Amino acid sequence: MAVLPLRFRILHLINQADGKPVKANDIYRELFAEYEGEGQFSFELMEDHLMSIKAVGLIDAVDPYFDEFGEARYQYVITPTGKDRTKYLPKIL
Amino acid sequence: MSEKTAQEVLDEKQLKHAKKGILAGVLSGVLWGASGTVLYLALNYEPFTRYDTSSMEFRTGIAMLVAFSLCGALMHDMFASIWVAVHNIRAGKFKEYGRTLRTKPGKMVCIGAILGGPIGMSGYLLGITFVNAAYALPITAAYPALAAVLATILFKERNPARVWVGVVLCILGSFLVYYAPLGEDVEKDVYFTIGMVLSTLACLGWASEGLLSTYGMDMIDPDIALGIREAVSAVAYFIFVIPIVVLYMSTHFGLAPVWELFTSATRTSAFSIYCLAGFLGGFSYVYWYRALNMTGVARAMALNVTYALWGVLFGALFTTLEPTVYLYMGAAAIALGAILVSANPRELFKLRNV
Repeated sequence: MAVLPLRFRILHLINQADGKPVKANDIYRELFAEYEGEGQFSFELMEDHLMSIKAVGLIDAVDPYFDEFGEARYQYVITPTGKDRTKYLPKIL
Repeated sequence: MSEKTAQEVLDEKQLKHAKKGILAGVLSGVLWGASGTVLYLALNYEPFTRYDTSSMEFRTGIAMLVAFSLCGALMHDMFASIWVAVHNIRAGKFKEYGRTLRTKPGKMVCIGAILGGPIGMSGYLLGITFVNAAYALPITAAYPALAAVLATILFKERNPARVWVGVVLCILGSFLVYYAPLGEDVEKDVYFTIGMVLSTLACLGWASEGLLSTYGMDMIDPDIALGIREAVSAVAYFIFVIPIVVLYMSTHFGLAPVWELFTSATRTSAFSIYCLAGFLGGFSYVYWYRALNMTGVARAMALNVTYALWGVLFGALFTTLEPTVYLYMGAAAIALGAILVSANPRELFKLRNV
């Protein structure tokens, strides 16, 4: 699979969950193999992307939880607007 | 004291994120105002000072001023694209350029770049060249109002009364800037009128770029969208705009003076001034695109358009301009109108919902 721009891939991954909330830690683990070694890829920067995608209404943050490191995190679900935007994902996916 | 719940901790984190977005929006306005003033100041350096356009025949003078402006617009966008590329490479985002260009929203950013660059930036630089930046900047700041009008005409969008009040304020502000008595150092001649009309062209270019950019732009990393935007704009100047200008001017004045203007531009002091303007302009866009993503379009646009006022302020501080009270009032009316078009003032600082 061709590597997508990071934000596209985050949205794609949340969309794949079909309405079920996805934990921030799980998104990071899933993307690690694809973007490992790129300076743009860290947990903090990925969380910034998640907050920005939420600010423009493509995803919603739900069910906060404390992860295994004691950090507060959100789980994310796709919104109808976000679902609509997935039409811009490349057809090969 | 009870321990905070996960929700409380995350609310604080989100609020911090939104506040950073507000700061980015303010910075985008300040830097754009500063960049406009620096671009205007560049016209006072070599090679532009070699040509006394006021003593030239009218048509020749206009053509030379057009060449100056387009030369400046090319250099501004070229430097901005270099600065932003350096910023993106340092952040480890270089591979994102190719990945993003292969997507549909990435291609839309390229089309937006042509509207915002060769049309918007050219109009802006032409405006700055013909009148002081302090007069051109407020006129261009009305672009959200024009975008609202275009969206109503082209996409049949329905706008609340607040938006139309904003549009009317922008129009009144523009009239105030144009018709009100000018300072002693500004002459209301044909160049002034041409400058104001060309500033409106910038407004049109940026309004249509804004309409196009909303098309899937929220899926793209703002730093990458900007890197592509500036690079495509610079390439479009090289391929389309500059050859047309060179061809037109060389048929009227001969190739030698035109060639001299463009080649000497890279060896003279104006070059380093444009490098600074490109830095300020490029990072103004970085913060503007970040604000769009961090705090939402409405707040970001409302904060960005304050450059109308910053432009007047910097013009008063760093150029020979002595702004009249009418200029301040006109700039304030346009900024307020653009804010009303972009956002509901009641919602502007309710950051909890971001």
